[in-house]
Amino acid sequence: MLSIAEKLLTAAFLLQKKRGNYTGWVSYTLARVRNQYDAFNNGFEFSALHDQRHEFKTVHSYEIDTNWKLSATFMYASGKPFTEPAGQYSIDLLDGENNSYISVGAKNASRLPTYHRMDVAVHYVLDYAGYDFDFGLSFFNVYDRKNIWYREYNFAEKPPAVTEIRYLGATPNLSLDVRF
Amino acid sequence: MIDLSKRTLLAIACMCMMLVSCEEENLNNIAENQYVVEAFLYAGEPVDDVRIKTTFPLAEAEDISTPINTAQVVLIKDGQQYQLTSSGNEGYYHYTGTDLSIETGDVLDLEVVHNGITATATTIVPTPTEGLRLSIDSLKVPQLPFSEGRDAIVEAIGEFLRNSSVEARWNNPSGDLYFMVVEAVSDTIDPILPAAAIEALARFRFVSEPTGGESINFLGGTLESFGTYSTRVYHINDEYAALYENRNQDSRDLNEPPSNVQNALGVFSAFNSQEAFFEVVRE
Repeated sequence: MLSIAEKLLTAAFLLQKKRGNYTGWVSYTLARVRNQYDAFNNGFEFSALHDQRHEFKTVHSYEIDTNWKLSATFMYASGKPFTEPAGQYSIDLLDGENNSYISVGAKNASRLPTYHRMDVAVHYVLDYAGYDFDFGLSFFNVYDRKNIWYREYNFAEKPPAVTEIRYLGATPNLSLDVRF
Repeated sequence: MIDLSKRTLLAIACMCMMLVSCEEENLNNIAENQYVVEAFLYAGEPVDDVRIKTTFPLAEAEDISTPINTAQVVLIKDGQQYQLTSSGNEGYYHYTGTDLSIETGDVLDLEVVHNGITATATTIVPTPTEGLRLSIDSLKVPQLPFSEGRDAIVEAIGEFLRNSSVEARWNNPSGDLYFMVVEAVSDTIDPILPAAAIEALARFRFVSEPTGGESINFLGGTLESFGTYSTRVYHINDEYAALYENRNQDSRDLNEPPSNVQNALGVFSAFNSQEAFFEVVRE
């Protein structure tokens, strides 16, 4: 009989300010998610792919006056689990080639580096001829943190090539929102 | 003002300690102590191509694995166990008796015990290749016009290479997988082309990968020496063909490498074959 179990433990905190020129919230989540399958990983428990031990988010918005508005967001999260190659081995094939293969480490036992970034934005709102114009200038990942999405391995090369695939770096954005 | 009782605070603290202290534990010792089985059996031939070795670090460009010469290796056929013996210091094992033969249709189990881990694998000896024939019996190499200058020599070599195609064909009505090896029968080298031309031709080296077709073409002119060549077409199993599959992966879903060995890495496979010959001679 096939047995599947997901074990989840979480604790979450939220602090929020809703009124006034300054609004915002701070949240923190502490979590652990583990999986266990009879027919996988020799029946041993392992971290789920979405298991992030700590996640901290904070969002702030400040209205300077009726026209100008500033906002900033910061988030920090523990690295997600992944299965790391533990080593490699080669097989002598009949055509004389010697192909390399990986030995896979313990399931989801390694962690990608922590993820964090800050986004900032400034908005200017103008009421003109019955239209509301919202001019925005924002910077995503303002300090250009090189957050890693996943790692790509090319085992046809010797030694195997490892490429880090990253999330978006520092990116400025201009926006115009017209409401009528 | 938030009012938290001592009991609530204690519960939160306990939960934090429990979560933070439970860092990644490696409960799966099999993943850390894996070894590699490289075992090939050939119909009608002695059992001597069974190799056990360690893995090696990912950052190494060269194979620095360590041979394992102290494993317990047993081949099982029809319920009968055949203990293999270490062949020396290179991690190879062979069967010393005369009561074991590898025949078409045999179902064979391999059991390896090392470092407290028992690895097992099963393979079936495929049927032999049938109807193997070559498009030529002999490949005639023309005299190179050394007295006519470099351009004439290059043109003559190019002409010879273009006309040196050899086709091996066999019966494959069910689309099974085959693999071909061409090798010189004699150890003596009698060079077909000048050394410089052979070096330049290195990139044309013929490499046969598993095919579900019924023929393979190769350029006889890229062979190194005059003499007799053996063309052997192996009927192979899926576990061997899997070794040629795409080996690019990413960390979002890192897969186990292709292997039919349980509790270890590598491959255990059997082959059957048919052989044909052709000659490379001077015109």
